[in-house]
Amino acid sequence: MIVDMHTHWGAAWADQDQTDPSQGLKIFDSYDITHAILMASLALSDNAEIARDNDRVAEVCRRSGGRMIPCLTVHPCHGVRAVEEARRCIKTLGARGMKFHPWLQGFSVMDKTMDELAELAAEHNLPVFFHDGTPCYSMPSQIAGLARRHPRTIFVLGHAGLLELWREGIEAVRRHTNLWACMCGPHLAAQKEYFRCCDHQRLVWGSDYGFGFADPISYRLGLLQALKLPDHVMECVLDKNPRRLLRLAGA
Amino acid sequence: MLTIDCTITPGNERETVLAIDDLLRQMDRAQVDRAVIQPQDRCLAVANAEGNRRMLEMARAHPDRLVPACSVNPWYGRAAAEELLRAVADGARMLVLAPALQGYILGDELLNPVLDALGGRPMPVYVHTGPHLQSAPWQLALLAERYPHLPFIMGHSGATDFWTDVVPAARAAPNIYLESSFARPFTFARHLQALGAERGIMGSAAPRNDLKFEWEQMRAVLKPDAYSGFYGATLAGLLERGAL
Repeated sequence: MIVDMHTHWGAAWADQDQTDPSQGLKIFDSYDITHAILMASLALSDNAEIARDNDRVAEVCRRSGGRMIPCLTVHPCHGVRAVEEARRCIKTLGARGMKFHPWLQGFSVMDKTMDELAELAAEHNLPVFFHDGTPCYSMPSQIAGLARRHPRTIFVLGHAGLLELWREGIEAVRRHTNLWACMCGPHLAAQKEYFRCCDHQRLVWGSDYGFGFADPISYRLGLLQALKLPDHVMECVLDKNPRRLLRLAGA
Repeated sequence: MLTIDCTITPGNERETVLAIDDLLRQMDRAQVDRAVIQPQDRCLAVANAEGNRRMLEMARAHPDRLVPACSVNPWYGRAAAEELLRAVADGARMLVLAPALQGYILGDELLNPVLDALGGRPMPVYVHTGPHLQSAPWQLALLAERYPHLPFIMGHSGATDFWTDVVPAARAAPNIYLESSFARPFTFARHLQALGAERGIMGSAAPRNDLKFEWEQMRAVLKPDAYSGFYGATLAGLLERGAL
């Protein structure tokens, strides 16, 4: 059983299939991926698309029979409107996580509305996913700063620091028990260090599938398998940890 | 078909621990004929001569399998140029620059004395790209335009965040070649399809990555029959020209 903790419903998929997940699910089936958190894509680069993209992601997930799990996004610079949209996504669309991409969206995580959103996430037990690994708005240490201010909220480094900031990511995850990391971006040696240095109960795996039609799952799943982790650790990373984080059946 | 891995770091520290016997075994398992070996991080940053000597010694012990690269930190000024010429005279076939580790912005005039020291020799210059401030594809394009006779290898093809810049920057400077490590097959294939197979060079970045896994994954996406230059011949040509 595999839960992919980093996928998107990209523009290419929206153009081709609108809100029909069947092609995407076939790809998941070929890798035994049972569930995936589904994040927006268009909304990350176009504020005018936020509400429409939240609706679209929710509809794709609804049609997936529960295998795809909706993750909302808003733009913190929209202030009250952002919080209202987040509430709408939680209450009426069934969003199970929040996703932010400060680099693409163009905001600082120090924005005051981010604090409100973080507290809202805690109130509803939603994990908050971040793009990370990219200066100057998406560094692991910055997200760790947010985790420090909001100890009730669980934050996830969506890329574990990527290729340049993975050491910073490791330090941040070790320091804050409400900070998790998704193995989606760092090279093999960096991932080894994560498993050597961090609590594996807070590590998950993701493919970043869905921005286009290219298939990153084979590579990224293969990379995780190349770590040759003990079976019980692999089970935690691919199945138990994400189920616990998303409060899925079997957690 | 000749196969060469452009990016191997047989170090003995941190995440680049890789003994030479182990490397040769991994190359055999991955059906890789030759590898360009480059110094580990500390030797890129500060202990240049130590790292260069180590690469040269390893390559001398296995001349049919290993090709030595060297590096100098341009902050050492004249001493850097002298060390480069010494390493080249001893057999180094590629210069490696790592601006983020070595502490400058790629393209800084600080590099001029080092690159000028090569004279007219078209030695390939491998640049670790990807770090946001110090080593971006368009910074490399500016440098490559300044030294049009030198082939520049864009190490890691700007991975992760500069994937949008890679192809336009390489188009701007025809003496830029794209190296694949860290760029991942599913992204790198798009770069080569846009730019042309003749501009690509295969690298695994072992031991940060698993050598065999990287070659298998890449071969599954870019079929060796159609991309023979990418898997070795293109780099072989650059190394040969640089040795003249």
